Amino acid sequence: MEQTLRPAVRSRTAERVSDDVAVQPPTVLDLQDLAVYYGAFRAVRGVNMAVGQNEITAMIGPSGCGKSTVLRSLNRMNDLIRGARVEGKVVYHGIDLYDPRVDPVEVRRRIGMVFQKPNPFPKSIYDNITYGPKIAGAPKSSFDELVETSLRKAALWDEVKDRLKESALGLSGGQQQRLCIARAIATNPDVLLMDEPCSALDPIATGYIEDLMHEIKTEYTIVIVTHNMQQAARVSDRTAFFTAELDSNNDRRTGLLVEFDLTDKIFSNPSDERTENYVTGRFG
Amino acid sequence: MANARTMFDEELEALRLQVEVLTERVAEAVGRARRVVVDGDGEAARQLIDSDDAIDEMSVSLTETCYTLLAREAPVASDLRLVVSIIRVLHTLERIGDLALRVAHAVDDQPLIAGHADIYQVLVRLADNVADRFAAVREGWAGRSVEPLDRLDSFDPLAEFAEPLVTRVMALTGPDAVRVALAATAVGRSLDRIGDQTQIMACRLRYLVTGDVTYLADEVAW
Repeated sequence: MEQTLRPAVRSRTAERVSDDVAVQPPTVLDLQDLAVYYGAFRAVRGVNMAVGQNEITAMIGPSGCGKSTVLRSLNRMNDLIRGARVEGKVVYHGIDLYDPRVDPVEVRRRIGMVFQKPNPFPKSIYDNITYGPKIAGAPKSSFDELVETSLRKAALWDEVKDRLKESALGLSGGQQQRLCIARAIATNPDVLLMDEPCSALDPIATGYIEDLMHEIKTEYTIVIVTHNMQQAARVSDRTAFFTAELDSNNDRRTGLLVEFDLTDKIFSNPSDERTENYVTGRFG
Repeated sequence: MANARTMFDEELEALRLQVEVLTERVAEAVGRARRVVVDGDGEAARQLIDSDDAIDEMSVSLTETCYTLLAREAPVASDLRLVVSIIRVLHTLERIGDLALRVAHAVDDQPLIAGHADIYQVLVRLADNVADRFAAVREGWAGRSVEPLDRLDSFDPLAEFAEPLVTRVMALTGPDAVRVALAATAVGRSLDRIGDQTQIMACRLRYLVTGDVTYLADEVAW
């Protein structure tokens, strides 16, 4: 009987989902029917997804499903692999990244990459940060400020400000990874790609990196590949689930994008049974 | 050796079966409450009172199991919906048990209520209504199917019982008027709340099966 006495209540999640769909952020990277080949082998196919500005987009899926391959195609890192080629389009702010007129070095300046294993250069903390800007021709007079700003954004300044000239290799794993993020930030990119950035870190260092992602997403668009589904659920706004299926043409497994949606949806009520089976641990 | 996922599946299935057992016990309580209203069945009242502790203990124990599964397995998607939905209905089933208990406690006043045919008829119809509702919802939960819930629309709306009951209670006169009024109101209120709680179980089942979060909003409207 109380039903007639109460005001109508709506689901916040339902409202949020419908609002989110209505106010989808501007697209930074638009992947259109993307396929990546290594020689004759088609590593991944059928990728259609729009990476939204100032969002964290997670790519999840079993090993060999092509998520890292797709990530590397977003800043043309695959160009460095002999025989690698792309079909379809990766459109960045309206520009096809694979247009022959596009400079891949400029692409990588605007779309930075943080790798699975922290890989600081065997140089000082200071030199790690200034390495990219130095190559890009930034004035030396700007370096001090740049180092401080980048390290502050990477939540590392307070820990290293008194030893900037010491070797970066003396930092802990978590600090090294934040240094790599600071180094990527120093070139003033628009997008940060992160390929399993926490897989070599302990839970505390992982927590720092995840917090950092939340902090910096107001300034950057982030795409992260992760095997840790809890991490994808915690940090990302949208999630892309990839899987691998046998290619009847060559008896090899080809990755494909199964589902791309709001992370809340992927982890609470995915549309595709393959996604459901993966996120619940029944497959993969 | 079974893998972790298989073990988790087995734990979920065991949990689901135990909730089915608890639902069956609560169904018995609702049936006994109906017999108290219809026949003033003292034995049914005694059994209902005796069974309440077991319902409470089972509800608490299964809630603990759910919390453990949440902490240990961090379930997602349909697994998460199952565990959180069970937590919700465990509370609901425990409440239905308590409400049925209140009806049992009115057993001594049943002959007085039965002496007022107009009031008695409303309460019997309401008791039948909520017992049938609960049966439909229990069937749905047992099979994790929303189809049995279609029957809920065929029952008289719960809201239609309030006015005739209150009108007739207010018209009572005579030396036993206050006692009958209090007993009939308490029984009517308890039965009505059992109906509401049953509807909450129905909403939660729809959410569990479909994943549609709008059913969560429907749930709090009851």
